Amino acid sequence: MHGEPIDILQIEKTFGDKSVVSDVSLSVKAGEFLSLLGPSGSGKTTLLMMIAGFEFPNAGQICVGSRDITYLAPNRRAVGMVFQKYALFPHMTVAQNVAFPLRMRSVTTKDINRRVSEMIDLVQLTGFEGRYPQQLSGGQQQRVAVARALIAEPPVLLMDEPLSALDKKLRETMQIEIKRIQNRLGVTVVYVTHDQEEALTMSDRIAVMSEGRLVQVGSPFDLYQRPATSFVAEFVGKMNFLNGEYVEAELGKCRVRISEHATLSSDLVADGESEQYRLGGRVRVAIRPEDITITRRFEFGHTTDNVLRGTVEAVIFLGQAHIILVQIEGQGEAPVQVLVPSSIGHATFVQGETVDLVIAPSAVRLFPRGVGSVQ
Amino acid sequence: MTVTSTIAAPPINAINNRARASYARGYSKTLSLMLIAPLVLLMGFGFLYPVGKLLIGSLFAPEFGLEQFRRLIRSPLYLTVLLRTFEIAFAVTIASLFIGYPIAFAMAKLPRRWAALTTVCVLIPLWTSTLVRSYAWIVLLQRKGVVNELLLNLGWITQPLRLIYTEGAVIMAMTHVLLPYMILPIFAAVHAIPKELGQAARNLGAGGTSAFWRIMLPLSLPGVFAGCLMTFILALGFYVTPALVGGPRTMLMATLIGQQTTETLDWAFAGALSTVLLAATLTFVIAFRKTLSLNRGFAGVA
Amino acid sequence: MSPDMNYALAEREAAEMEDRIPKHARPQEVGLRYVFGIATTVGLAALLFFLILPTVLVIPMSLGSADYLEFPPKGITFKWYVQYVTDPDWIAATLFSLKIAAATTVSATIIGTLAAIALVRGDLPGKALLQAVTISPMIVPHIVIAVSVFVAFAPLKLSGNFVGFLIAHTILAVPYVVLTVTASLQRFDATLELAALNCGAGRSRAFFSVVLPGIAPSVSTGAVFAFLASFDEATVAFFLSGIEGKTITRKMFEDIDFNLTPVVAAVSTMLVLVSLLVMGGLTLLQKLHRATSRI
Repeated sequence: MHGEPIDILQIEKTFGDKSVVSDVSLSVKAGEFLSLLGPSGSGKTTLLMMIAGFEFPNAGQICVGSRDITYLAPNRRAVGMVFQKYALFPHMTVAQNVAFPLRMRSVTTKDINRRVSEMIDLVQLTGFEGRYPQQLSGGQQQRVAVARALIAEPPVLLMDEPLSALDKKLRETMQIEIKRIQNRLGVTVVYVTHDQEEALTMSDRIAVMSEGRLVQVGSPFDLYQRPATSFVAEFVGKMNFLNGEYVEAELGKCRVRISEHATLSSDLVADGESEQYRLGGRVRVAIRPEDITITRRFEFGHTTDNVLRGTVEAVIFLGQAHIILVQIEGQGEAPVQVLVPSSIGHATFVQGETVDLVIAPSAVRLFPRGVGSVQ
Repeated sequence: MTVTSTIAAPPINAINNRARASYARGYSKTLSLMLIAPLVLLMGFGFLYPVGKLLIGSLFAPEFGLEQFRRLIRSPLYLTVLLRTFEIAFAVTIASLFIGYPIAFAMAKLPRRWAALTTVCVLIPLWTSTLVRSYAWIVLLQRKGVVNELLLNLGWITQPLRLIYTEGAVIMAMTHVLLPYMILPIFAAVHAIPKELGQAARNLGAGGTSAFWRIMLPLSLPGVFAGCLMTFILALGFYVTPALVGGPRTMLMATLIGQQTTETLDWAFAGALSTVLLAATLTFVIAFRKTLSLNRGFAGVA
Repeated sequence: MSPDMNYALAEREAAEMEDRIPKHARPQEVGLRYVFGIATTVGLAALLFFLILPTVLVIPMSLGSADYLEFPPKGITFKWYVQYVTDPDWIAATLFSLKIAAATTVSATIIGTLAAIALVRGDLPGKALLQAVTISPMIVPHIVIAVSVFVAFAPLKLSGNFVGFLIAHTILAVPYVVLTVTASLQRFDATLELAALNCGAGRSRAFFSVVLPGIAPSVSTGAVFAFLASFDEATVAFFLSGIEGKTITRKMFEDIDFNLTPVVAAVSTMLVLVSLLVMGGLTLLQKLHRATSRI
């Protein structure tokens, strides 16, 4: 273990008049794998650039271990970085690329050779030492970039969307590979991505950014289960959104009217939170596709609480599951997606059929309209 | 674990000027100025100062005023030279266009081997000194030159023709010397036309000729404009070829400036002539730029 | 010799290589026979003949045995070349030109490369104006530059003088270097420099170990253009030459005017060969470089 913690304190960054990072504070533990997740323009790459020293913040502080590196030149930071398109030196061989950071640190040739061959071994590129980057595949170039970033044993490794140039299959292989190398070396990783699936798979914790601000920091499970805002809810994982009208709160439960006949109650609203809703106010209701149980319509004449009636619009086969699109009565929103494992079967539902969707109160999340929404 | 407590807290929300010195956005102002300083000094001393001195000098002889320019306008001789300069530059541009376009088109569109041969024929003159090529035209056109000898031997003429020191000789030689400047921009434009466009036109029923006139020619026009501009402004101020191939009766602005400088030693008048030549050149550069961008705007509408 | 056009060609070629479309994959669009009939083929041949003949004409003319230029040459002789290399005036002019061209190459390449870096990657006030001034020696008629420099340098004792020529020729040559290097820097991936910094290299080390190797082909192209821009230059040389400091082009000018012996043809041939060797060599080297670095 040689990873070190990173402490980011009240960082502000503006380009001209435009604020790109505002008031970001974040602590990354030693050896942790933290992803900065957000859409393009959310400030995640700028934050990474400030940790690497390519940009300097207007205010705030960045520390690695106990060193304040806020205004340190990038070449003195001992922070490794893997760039989006690898940024391998085209006129150097694989071995020369990997050796470059050591040559900059005047390590003896003998030590360089030993450490380079160890590192090339670690990233499984033995036999490719003499090749030039343009003679390698995308995945191999990626491995060289990782090796070069880690050879000088930096306590912190920064990765800027390193897998975005690879196709899906290779990306999955490399995700596992990067995790393996990180576990081996114990380096602290800050990983920038806009791919929420990638962030969920790889990270110990995820920091979600939007419009230059940190929206939520937590474990993948936390973010998925307890999104703090509708932005996080929408950005992380699949989520259905419905419009509703807040009708009552009693005994820790909130009730929202979805249509004339249907209401949903939720027990996911914290005590203090219900105060931000007023009776008759508009709210956004968020439900995960896998939290919905789809049934043939109940034989009762009217729907009950937490049951939504709708019409099947389409059935989409995904492999391990089906997505059934259901248009809810009285809702102008996009059809609700319902995830049904393939083992249960979809054949029972056909297009145009009227179905009922049963949703447990523990799966219904409420968000105020407008605030923190991506729309 | 957190370390922030162990760090002496600076006023972290104070706006810091170091934020501007970004490594990601290139070199700092100081370094940039240091890098460009040698060029600025060189240009200042070796280019802007001499040219400025010559131009301003023309205003102070014998005393401050436009006397030198009045001389230019008053004398029909100098006006003739000015007019002839434009005429010849225009003729050279037109001749270069008509010779250069087919060559450029061939370079871009012929099958590989033929295109390579054409390219070699363009590159060799391009790489060769203009002095040598102008000299070659003397060898060709002089009284006992190649052309006259050939025609005499063939019995087509009995007396050597007077070819050299004529306007025709100047136009022909300058066309030859400046031709690469016409060919290469047109070649670049034709080469950049996606070949699918030609195929699409054929597919839509256009014949070969029609596809050329309606697709290839309009799309190559930016190259034609660039080539014509380049050729014209170079022809306006060209010295070597008219000095060698031209005679007293084909005096151009450039050769007149040269004569005023070395023979009559009238530097003030040479400065006035230079001012006129420079102004004409810059006018064309700026005007043509506008034409080019106007053309682009037009393309956007159509 | 017109390096700016060469530059356009070289850049286009580089861009083409970047597209990684192998040339042989380009279908032969329409056969020669269909687009160009026999008549057009003949016409094109005539145009190419017009283009190439005056350039290579000096070669047979320099080999004629008569004391004047004759065509076709009756006998073949190398005596004009012998006369050239044994004439101290010609040799002095040649050496003077070579000295100036070599020094111009060095100064234009260094000054131009530094300026290009500042113009592309630097933080400069009035960049557009600086760019315009840098390129202006290509647009301002050379006669104007020549006369200006002649008038301004004479009282400074810089006319007919190595330093005077060095300054004047560097000004004429520097735009070619700036243009080629600028284009190459704009193509150069700036994150490579950041990567070098991240690997622990300082600013200058990052430049010399990563940026410079990346733009080296264009710097060398610029250097060759600068050499020819000086060596083949005739207009400024005509005015700035003195009795002592005389370039080969000025000496040719004089000999063409006074006596038309085939020695000038021999010197011309030599100039043609130098240009072709230098440019051809450069083209070949760069083709090789691209072939080896992009397998």
